[in-house]
Amino acid sequence: MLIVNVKKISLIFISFIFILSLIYFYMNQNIVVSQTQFIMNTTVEIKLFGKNIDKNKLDKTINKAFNVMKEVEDNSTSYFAYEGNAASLNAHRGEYYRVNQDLIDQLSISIPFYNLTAGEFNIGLFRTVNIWKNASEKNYLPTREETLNSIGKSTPNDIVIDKFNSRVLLPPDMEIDLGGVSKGYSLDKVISFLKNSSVDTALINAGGNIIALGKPVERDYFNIAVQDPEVINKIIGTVKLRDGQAIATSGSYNRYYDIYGKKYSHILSGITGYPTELYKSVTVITNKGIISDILSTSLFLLSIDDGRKLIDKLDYPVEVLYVLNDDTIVKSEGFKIEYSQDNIYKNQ
Amino acid sequence: MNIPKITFIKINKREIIIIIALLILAFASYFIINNKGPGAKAQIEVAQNLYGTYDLSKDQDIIIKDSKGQIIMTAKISNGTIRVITSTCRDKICIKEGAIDLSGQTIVCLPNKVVITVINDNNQIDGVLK
Amino acid sequence: MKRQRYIVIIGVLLALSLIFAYIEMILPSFLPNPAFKIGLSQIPILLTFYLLDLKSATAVSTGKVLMMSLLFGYFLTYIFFVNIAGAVFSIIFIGFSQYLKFSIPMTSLMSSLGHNLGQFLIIGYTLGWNIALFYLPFILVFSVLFGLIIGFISKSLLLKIEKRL
Repeated sequence: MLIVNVKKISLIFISFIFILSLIYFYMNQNIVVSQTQFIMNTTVEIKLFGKNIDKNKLDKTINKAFNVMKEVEDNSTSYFAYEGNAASLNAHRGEYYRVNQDLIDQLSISIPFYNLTAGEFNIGLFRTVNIWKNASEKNYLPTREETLNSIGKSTPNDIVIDKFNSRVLLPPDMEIDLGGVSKGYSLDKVISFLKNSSVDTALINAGGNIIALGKPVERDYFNIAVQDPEVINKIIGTVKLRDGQAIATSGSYNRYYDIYGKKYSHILSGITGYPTELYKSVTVITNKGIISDILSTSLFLLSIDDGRKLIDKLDYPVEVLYVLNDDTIVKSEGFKIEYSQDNIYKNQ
Repeated sequence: MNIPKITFIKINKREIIIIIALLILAFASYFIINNKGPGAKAQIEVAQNLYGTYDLSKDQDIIIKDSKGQIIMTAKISNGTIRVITSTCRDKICIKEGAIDLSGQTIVCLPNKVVITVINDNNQIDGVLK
Repeated sequence: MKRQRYIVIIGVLLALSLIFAYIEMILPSFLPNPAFKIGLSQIPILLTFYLLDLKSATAVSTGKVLMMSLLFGYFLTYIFFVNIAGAVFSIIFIGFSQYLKFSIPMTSLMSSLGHNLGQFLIIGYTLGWNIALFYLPFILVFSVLFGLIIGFISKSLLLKIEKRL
């Protein structure tokens, strides 16, 4: 005999639905998973946005994302030799050397900028960088001849890339340093890794370079504060960073060589090997991490007019903001910034 | 007068299940709804119209007027908290509620239809470009 | 039941609920949020429901809100409608409990839940759901707690009254 207690069953059923809907609400809460690590000489913060239900997956993904970044660092460093990386390539200059794909990609994107910037953006400056590093340790000022001589006769145009066999021929009088390229490139790699791991929203902050994927729940954009070049803890204003956009800034304030108490920018002219002092900082927004990194360096070295010509030649949408030495701000029309109330800068 | 027998049913299993379900719902909704952390701003609404948003970091007194322009309430911001100090309402519950400072917390004055909510800064900065 | 007797009983119960409501108003609140009350005035309403019927309970409940609003000068203001909504929902939930054959404490719980949900709905509708939702967990916990307390008080009172009858 089968007696079905309708009330009892409906009660159990209702409480079951109750609990299920609670679990559903809990699982669908929005969360942010963030982690900070020291990579590429800077603190890198990766923030992943998702649902509570994916928390374990996000935790794993964030670790893998840092591993992707570390791999790019190892593949592009000129200071520690690994099989097929830039340091090994420098050691094997003058012969065809098999390198990793990251290096090939970075070289083939950054070499054209040598011509585009009329020689200012030069990736073959490893020796010059070393001269400045030594100089700042021993506290002497390198002469212009010294830095000029450290740049060999060969230019990045003489680098031969054999994409088919993944080989590169570096001229014997040149050593490469991808300092102004690999950070931006690593952001692009992390973003494509995150997309493949089905992460919809992420923000990666590598100090002077930030890249956005997707948008946060409450807004259509990420709010990015642009730091004041003079005063730490102060900001010029905030910029809206949208899906896929990368922002990068170059300035003399953050990384410099300290010689006789004077600060020399770490950004060196590819022609003279000497730092330029055209601006306090240059900030670039575009849609690719590596381009934002290269452009912020290039535009820091070029005059505003030459910079505009360079931007016109590119296929990427580029917006730029200069902070001049007299605290005037010059920016392209599309660069939307909300100035903070207490900033001292004159907007032009 | 006859009291029906049915009223003297004791609390039974089915009722206890409902009570437990309600309590579970209460606790769960507490954790879902309340994302508590110190808030950045106080938002004041009068009859569902936004009256103003005030920075909790700046000490100030706020005079709240209704749609006819009459003063119905004064609120005070001090030490990152907000509280109601005077109100024209009858029961003064809004004053008794004291100071609030965690995001999501509210002071409601029903007679005056004033709602004071502590909110996070929606324009908070996601990252700093150095 | 004689008509006179009915009128006397319902009048006493209404007066009791008014007195309880007033006592609750002047008592200092010991709860984290002073907007919440134990609901002492719900005792006479429950007694009305069990001694008389649902119709009488409705009369006492709405009569209490009406007279309180007239006494304290908030008749036909916003707060009056909030209270009326609470009273109406409370009665609906009592009727629902009667249909489901709930015990006295459970009926009391349902009544206080209904009271709070009624106010919740009208506050949510008029002042925004975010604010109302913030109070939802407290509404549920206090409804259960105070509903049961009031329920047990009412039950012991009813048992005593039954012996005297």
